[in-house]
Amino acid sequence: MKRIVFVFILVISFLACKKEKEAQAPTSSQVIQASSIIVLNEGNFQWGNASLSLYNPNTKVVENDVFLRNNNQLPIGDVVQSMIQVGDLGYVVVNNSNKIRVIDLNNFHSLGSIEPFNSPRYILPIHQNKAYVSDLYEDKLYVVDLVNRSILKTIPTHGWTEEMVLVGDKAFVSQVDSSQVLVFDVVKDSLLKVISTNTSPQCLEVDVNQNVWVSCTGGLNSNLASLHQIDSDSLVIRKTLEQSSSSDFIGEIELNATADEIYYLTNEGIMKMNIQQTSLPTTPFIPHNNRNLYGFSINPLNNDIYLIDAVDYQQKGYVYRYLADGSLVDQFQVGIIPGDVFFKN
Amino acid sequence: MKRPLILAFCLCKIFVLLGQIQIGDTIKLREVKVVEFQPSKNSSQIQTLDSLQLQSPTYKDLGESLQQNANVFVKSYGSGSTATISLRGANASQTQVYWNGISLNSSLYGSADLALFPTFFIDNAHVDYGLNSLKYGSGGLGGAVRMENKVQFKKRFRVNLIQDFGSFNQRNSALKIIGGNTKWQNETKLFYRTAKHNYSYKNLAKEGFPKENVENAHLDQNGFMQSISYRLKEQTWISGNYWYYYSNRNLPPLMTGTAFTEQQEDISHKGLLSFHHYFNESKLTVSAAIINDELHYTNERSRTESDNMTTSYQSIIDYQSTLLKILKWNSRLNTNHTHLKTQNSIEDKQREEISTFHQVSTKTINHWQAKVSFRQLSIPGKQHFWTPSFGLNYFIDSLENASVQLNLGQNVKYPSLNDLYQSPGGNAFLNEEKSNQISLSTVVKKKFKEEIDLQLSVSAFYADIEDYILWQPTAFGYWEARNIKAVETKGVEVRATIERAYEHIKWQLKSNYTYTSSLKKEKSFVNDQSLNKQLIYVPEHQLNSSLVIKWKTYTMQAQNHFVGARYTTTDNSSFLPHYNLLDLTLSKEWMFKKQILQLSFSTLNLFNTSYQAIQWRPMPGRNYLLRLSLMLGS
Repeated sequence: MKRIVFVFILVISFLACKKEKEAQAPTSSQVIQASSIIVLNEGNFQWGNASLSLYNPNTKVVENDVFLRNNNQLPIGDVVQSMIQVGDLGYVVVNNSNKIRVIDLNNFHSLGSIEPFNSPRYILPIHQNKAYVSDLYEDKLYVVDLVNRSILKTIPTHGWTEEMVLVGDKAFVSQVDSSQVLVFDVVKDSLLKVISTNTSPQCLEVDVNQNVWVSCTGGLNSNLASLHQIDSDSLVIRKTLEQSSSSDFIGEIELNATADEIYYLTNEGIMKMNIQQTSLPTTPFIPHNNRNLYGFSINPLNNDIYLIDAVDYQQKGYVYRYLADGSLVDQFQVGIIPGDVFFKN
Repeated sequence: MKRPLILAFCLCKIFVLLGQIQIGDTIKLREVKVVEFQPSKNSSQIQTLDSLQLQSPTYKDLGESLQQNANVFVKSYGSGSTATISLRGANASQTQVYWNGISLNSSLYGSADLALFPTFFIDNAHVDYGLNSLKYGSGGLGGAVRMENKVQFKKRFRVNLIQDFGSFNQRNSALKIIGGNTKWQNETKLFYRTAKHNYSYKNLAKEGFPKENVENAHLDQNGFMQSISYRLKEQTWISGNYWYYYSNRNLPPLMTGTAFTEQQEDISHKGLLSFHHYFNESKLTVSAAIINDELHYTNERSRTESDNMTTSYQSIIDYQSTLLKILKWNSRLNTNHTHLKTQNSIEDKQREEISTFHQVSTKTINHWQAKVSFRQLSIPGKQHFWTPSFGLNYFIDSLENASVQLNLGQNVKYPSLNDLYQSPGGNAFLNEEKSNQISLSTVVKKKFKEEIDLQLSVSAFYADIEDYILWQPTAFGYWEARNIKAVETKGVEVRATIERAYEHIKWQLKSNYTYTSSLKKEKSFVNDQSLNKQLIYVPEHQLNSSLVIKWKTYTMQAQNHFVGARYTTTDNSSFLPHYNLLDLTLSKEWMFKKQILQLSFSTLNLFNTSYQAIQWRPMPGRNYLLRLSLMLGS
């Protein structure tokens, strides 16, 4: 009996004391250049596995988990939603960690955070010191002080606010559930106008003529997905282009470097058209090809297109890099659910 | 005496015929539960947890008990929090949970939350691995767990009172009153559980890795079970059970987030009436049950409140008999009518299922025993599903102390209401999940020197699951339930028990080891790297062991639970490291005539292991529990 007891205690003691070999990830070895590309990997909601990847378009070297590696294995949080750059600082909106992380873009070191938010989505820099922050669940828009890293005040809204763009002294904010675009005076932080749109406006871009483009997904009730073009002076919708079928989706929109061509994501792939066109194209510029296309970005320096494949949302995703003519240059693996590609100035 | 038998036959026939009728309504569903065959006494495919294994102070609910005592993986968010089971690599909705034959799996999600079933309310729990679950119902592609309440008609009156005091404001109270005679039996059970679970942990997701306390983790659960049985004749009795359970659980945030109010409230009423009659060489059981489950979910952050209520009306007719003196026959009919009422994402739905099961097995002839069974499942508006299975036992010696068993067959699982009708993402065109399975096992029992008993069983299993239902992303930004071509599961289960009684000392060592490989066999997207990779949150290796030493009135119990690495991404690029927990309990008993007072002190997670069962969910370090148990009566 003694032998059995001894062996049992020995085995469980061994198992109990054995430490998992900890991954000793090196700090970032790449030089973070002005032209570097940062991929924001959302990660799964409630799984805390968001991350940042760094891609050098010149060397085609990609480095994953750059925030974790440069911050003593600290995870960036739960659902990285979006990012802006002000000077050398990056402001990364971490949606389900309810905060905006402030990082040094030269080395990815964490410098602190702005919090608490409820469920922050996007941040719009108004000037060097001030920014707006939209929120998924709150009836308000946050006005934050970027220098003191604090919330200055809030502006009333009605439900989910999403993407934002700045045109002069006007901030355009999509308010998804109520199918509206809100226009704010950024000097007075007050509401100027409410523009009704088609169902579920989400993404906003500003073209060369200072018109604001809005993509409306159509929601989940079989309404047609569409694009609006809003005149930023008169604040009226100048043009609406609708998909022909409710099964045709419109997601993210982007403009090229000269802001005269609009690209948008559909279930067929990436579509491309001139902003003067009066109907939507039917043939994809970059076809879907059995990928789970989740988003894309266009490099404002050279019109390179970075197309995101989130695969099954539960494994590492891929980013495809295309030239402006649609030819594939590179593809690389990044983190879980790459959601956006950010171009460092 | 023949009348109940004739009645059962008629009912079986009617239900079989009903099951063959194509009913146009696609929403209705009837579930039938089939037979239960008496397992071979040496079966390694069926594991029984007795009341002693269920009543250890270190676990309060079925999930915690199974995790320690069986070859299963329980995915738990923490003590008292949601706990779902994975058996033989299958997921929670592919593992069936029964209470006295009645299905407790949620019609909405397909799975069952084992944290809502306190072990105090059950007398036995059985784990039916693989095809053995077919006896009770279809859908248990990995197997089934059965909770049982036993009736003993004898003169007795017993009161059992248990009070626990534990770390993190844990308070558990339980009262059981059993009384009756050879005609009547009454059992009343009350249970109350509360805990703050505000334990401290090192937050690895915040700068400086500060020590923090878990917030918003308060738990309140209480329940009541009343059982009354009446013996009509020597071999006939009826019984009624009512089970009420209330659970209010706050859901703590991830390490990566901040605290806010998120809460889940479960209210369950279960009523069961059953009739049992033994003939000379046969047995008839007829049961009818109503199960009503409510779930209220509140999320302060998203300002979400959702309510779901399911009501299920189930019936079972089970008949077991012998044929020609060498055959055993078992037929079983199950019906299940479910009504779902929700506030949000699914419209009100009804489903009906009718299922029959027939099994014939031989008695042991020249060391051999064989069985053949068929289960038929009818879903109105859908095709009939026929799932045959075959088993062969070879007993190596005439005392049946060693045997080899082969089982092969099919099982089928119909999609849950959530899979079919959730909006968005539900897919009304889903196919049922189909599984072909084979297992080979051996059991050896041996006695040494009249003092030492050894039992060893080893099982190897293989199963492929076609049309496995996975939620996959769509181009529209939401997930949709889809059939993927195949998942392949295979593995080994080893169970060993050795015990010795020598003068004043008794000791017992039990150990369960499980190896599970559960691989996806189809690419869903061009860049999909999950082909031939282990499914997430299915550990390849698991080991649990328990050593009990009794000396006079003292007992020492050491329980060890090892869980191997679990992948958290489908391409297996990320994983949670393995962990190993040791719990130690010391008990002392005092006897005053027939009254027993027991005091036990448990140290859980003795080595203060820091671990995560679910990614970024902190788990408690070393903690303590004091139990006072009083048994009065005869």
